Formats: sequence, C-alpha cells, structure tokens
Amino acid sequence: MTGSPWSAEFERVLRGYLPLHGPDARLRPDDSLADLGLDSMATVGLLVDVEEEFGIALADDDLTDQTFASPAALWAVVDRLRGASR
Amino acid sequence: MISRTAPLTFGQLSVWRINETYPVSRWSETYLRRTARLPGGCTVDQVLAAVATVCARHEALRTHFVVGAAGLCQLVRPAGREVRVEVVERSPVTPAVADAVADELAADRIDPAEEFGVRFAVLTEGAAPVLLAVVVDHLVADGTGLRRVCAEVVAALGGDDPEGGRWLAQRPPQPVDLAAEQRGGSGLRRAEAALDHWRALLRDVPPEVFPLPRPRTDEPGRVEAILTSSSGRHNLAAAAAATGVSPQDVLLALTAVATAVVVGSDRVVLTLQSGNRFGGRWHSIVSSMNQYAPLLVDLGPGHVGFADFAEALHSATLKAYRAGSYDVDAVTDLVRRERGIDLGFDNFFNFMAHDVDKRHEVTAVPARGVVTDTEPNRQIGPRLDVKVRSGPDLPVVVRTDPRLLPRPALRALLGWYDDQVHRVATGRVTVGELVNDCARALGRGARA
Repeated sequence: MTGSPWSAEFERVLRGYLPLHGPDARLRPDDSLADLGLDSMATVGLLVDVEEEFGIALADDDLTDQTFASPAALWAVVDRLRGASR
Repeated sequence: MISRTAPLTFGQLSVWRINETYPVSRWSETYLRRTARLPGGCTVDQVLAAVATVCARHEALRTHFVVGAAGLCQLVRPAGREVRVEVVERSPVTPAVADAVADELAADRIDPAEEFGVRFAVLTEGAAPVLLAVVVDHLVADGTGLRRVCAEVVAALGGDDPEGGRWLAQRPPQPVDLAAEQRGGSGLRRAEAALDHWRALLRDVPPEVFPLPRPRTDEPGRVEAILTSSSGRHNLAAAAAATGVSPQDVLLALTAVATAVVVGSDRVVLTLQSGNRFGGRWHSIVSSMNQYAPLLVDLGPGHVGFADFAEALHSATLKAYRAGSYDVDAVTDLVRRERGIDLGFDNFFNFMAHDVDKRHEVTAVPARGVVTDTEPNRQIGPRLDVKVRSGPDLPVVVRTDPRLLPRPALRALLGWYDDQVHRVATGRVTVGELVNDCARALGRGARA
C-alpha cells in the first residue's frame, strides 16, 4: 500500500483482524477499528501478533482502548516501541 | 507403531494437570460433546469414510498420551488405526436423542494411554444417516477444535458448511509442531514473559486471595441455574453502548462485583479462559488451547462509576489474556516456592456470547428474564462458575457449590444480573451501589 504512514508488515497483521474491512479498501489512519470488526477477543490476538511481529512488549499503560481505537493510534505505540528496541 | 512423538503442548499439559486433580471416576464429566447434521442422501459407509479422512488429517484424533522416561508425551499413531464409531438406529433422530447418545458415548472413561480421545456415533433413521454425535477428551480438543472436526466431516460429505470446506482445503497444523514451537525461539520468549506476569501477580495479590486452595474433589455437589433473557440481550448491547466498553466487559465487571459479594472480599481473583487462538498458524488447530488466566480485581472505592471500573478491568483483562499461554508446571513450581501451596483456581468467568453487537444505539427495555434451575453436568470443580452463551435470550449459566451460594441465593443472583444490565444501560451507577444491591439480593450485609 503506497503512502501509508506505517509499514506493510503492520498493515498485514492489522488487516487480519478487521473482518468488516474490504480487502481492496484503503485503511485510513483514523478509521475506527471497532467499526471495522475488531472486537474484544480479537484485540488480544492483535496485541499478541503485533508484539511477535515487531519483537516488542506493550507496557500496561499502553493497553487501553485508545491504543486500539485506530490504525494511527496503534501504529504510534508500535513505532515508538520498535524505535526504542533498536 | 509411532508416527511422531513430542512433549505436550502448553494447552494439553494444562488439561492433564487439571485432570489429575479430579477423581478418575469423574473424568467423563469433562468430555466435550457436539452434534452435526449430516447431508441428506449420504450412506453410513460414506460417513465412516469421511470420519476416517478427518482423523487422518488431524493427529490429535489419533494420539495417545503417556508418561514416559522423559515425562509426559504425546504419541501420534499412523492414520488408519481404528477409531471408535458406533452406528445407532433411532426413530426419530432428534437433537435430544443425539445428546442422549453422546452422553452414552461419554459415560465410560477414556484411557488416554490406550484409546484415542475421540468417539463418534452415526445416528440413523431407517438406516439413513441423520446426525453425527462426537465426544472428545479435552486433552484432544477444545470447543473450537471440536467444531472444526464436525465441520470437516460435513464438508467431506459434500454438506453445506463453508467454514468446513475452507478448513478441509488447508493443510492442518498439528499439536506436535506447536509443542516444538512453544519450547523454542519466540515460544520460549512468550513463556518467560508469561512467567514474569505470574511473578508480578503474586507480588500484587495478597496470599489469602490467591491462589485459592483447590476445591475438594471428593465432595461432589453443585447446583446450577440459567437466566434466559431476550430483554437482557437487548440491554447488554445498550449497556455496552452507554458505557463505551464491550458487552463482555459489562458482564465481566458485573461478575467481578458479584464474586466479591459472594466470597465476601473486595479483592478477588477471577479465572478467565484464554482461548490462545490468535492469528497465524495455530488459529484453528484441532487441539486443546484453552488455559486459565487469573485476573485480579480490586473493587476500589464505592464511588467509582461502573463505566470507569469496567474500562480499568478491560485493560487488566488484556494483560491476563496476553499471558494466557504458559507452562503450567513452571507456574506451579513458582507458586509452590512463593506461596507454599498448590496452584488452584476458582471464580470462573467464560464469555462465549460473541453475537451481541454494541455498535448500534439501542434503548433499554424492562428486564424480563426467567431463571430456571438446571442440572449441572459437573458435580466438582470451581465453587463459582459463570458462563455467558450466545443466543437470542443471552443465557447466563451459573454453577455453584451450594455451601458457598445455595440455590435460593443462586436464583437471586441471576435475577440481579438481569436487573443490573438494565440499570447500567439506563444511567450512571457506582460500584458501591451495585455491591449493595447484590448483597441485598443475596441476603448479605450491605457494604459500609
């Protein structure tokens, strides 16, 4: 996906948890992940997969609804942590 | 002859250790059951062939579990060895008849060292197959795994099961390979992170709160009741919309309050069921993946609003589920070292109703649920067990040790759930108000 503010790996992992998002539709930074089908249990799966994909661990303060509200919010946390781990 | 062998996966090991705490005579109470409608026009031979195909595909269905020189291990046998399939003629064949046949299949204990942990029965009417009943030992599969087995059999017979068809087209993942991954590389890192989570839990939780002594399994006796409430289902969606948390979090928070009142402590540990079926390779494996995930709850000051309380619980729940895949033997050793007792769990909460949609604004309706006494399929196990199932009438099933919560109070508790979901949906309510209301319902003293 060109022009995305996040990596292709991030979008691949995230799309796997958005059953209501069309495969060809563009994922926008402020899209509501809940509206795209991310429910409570899927959030756990997304958390685990994101941590495994990027070799990071979200801190307790990051485990909030706000973190998982939108692609941009989640990417902000992921990008910060992977930058810290380099 | 053995095809492959490996240590147990973390999920299998958890089931084994739980089974060790049960009397052998009651193991069959833990077996899972499912029925599937077979496509019209198929023959018994075709059903037997489809069952053989599915058993060949999934190694869990042809595995023995033994204690060897290296400890517990799973021994995968070659495909083609006999699996127990009964053909049962009944007239008429109904779901209730299939349930009864499944109960008969489950009546005799499965020796995991000698017998594959799955039994099938093909129910025929006039020699024509109608339903398939399947019973599995929890060592072999959890509910998701069992669903896959049934779906693949139906799809293999040409039946209308799109999910079964998709699964049938895949090369299935196997527990032996999962066990290898869990014990190497990223699996080891996750296991160590889970152990860190348990160390932190033991630091934060007073010894008298967790772990609880294991419920005595030589004193059977549980009572159970179910709340069925179409208004409750409607109000749960409204409550989720009103509070901004998920339907699961609404009921989890109410259960946390109820548990605190029932056990008489503002700090309790709930036991969640972590499905551990995240994205990737193991998502739909036929195996047992569920493990217990403890969740520390502190009711805090009574003036805290329910929505804030539920939101805080949500964050804690994410942490608990994240650490839900772990080596139970390592955790047991840790708990013994830190607390001097064996690891035990109680106060179970299992939310299985994933059909309640909070996304749309709905207006609450008066609570009109019905509470009915039911017969528990287990007479041992946790002293307090709350399950929320899918369905238009949002079944909430509570099973208790009557010495902790006798039947009249159990019924009152379920009525309380129905009333409080409505209350949360219609206005602000504090944790303290919920606690006092619950205490009144159960005939306990109100909180100071």
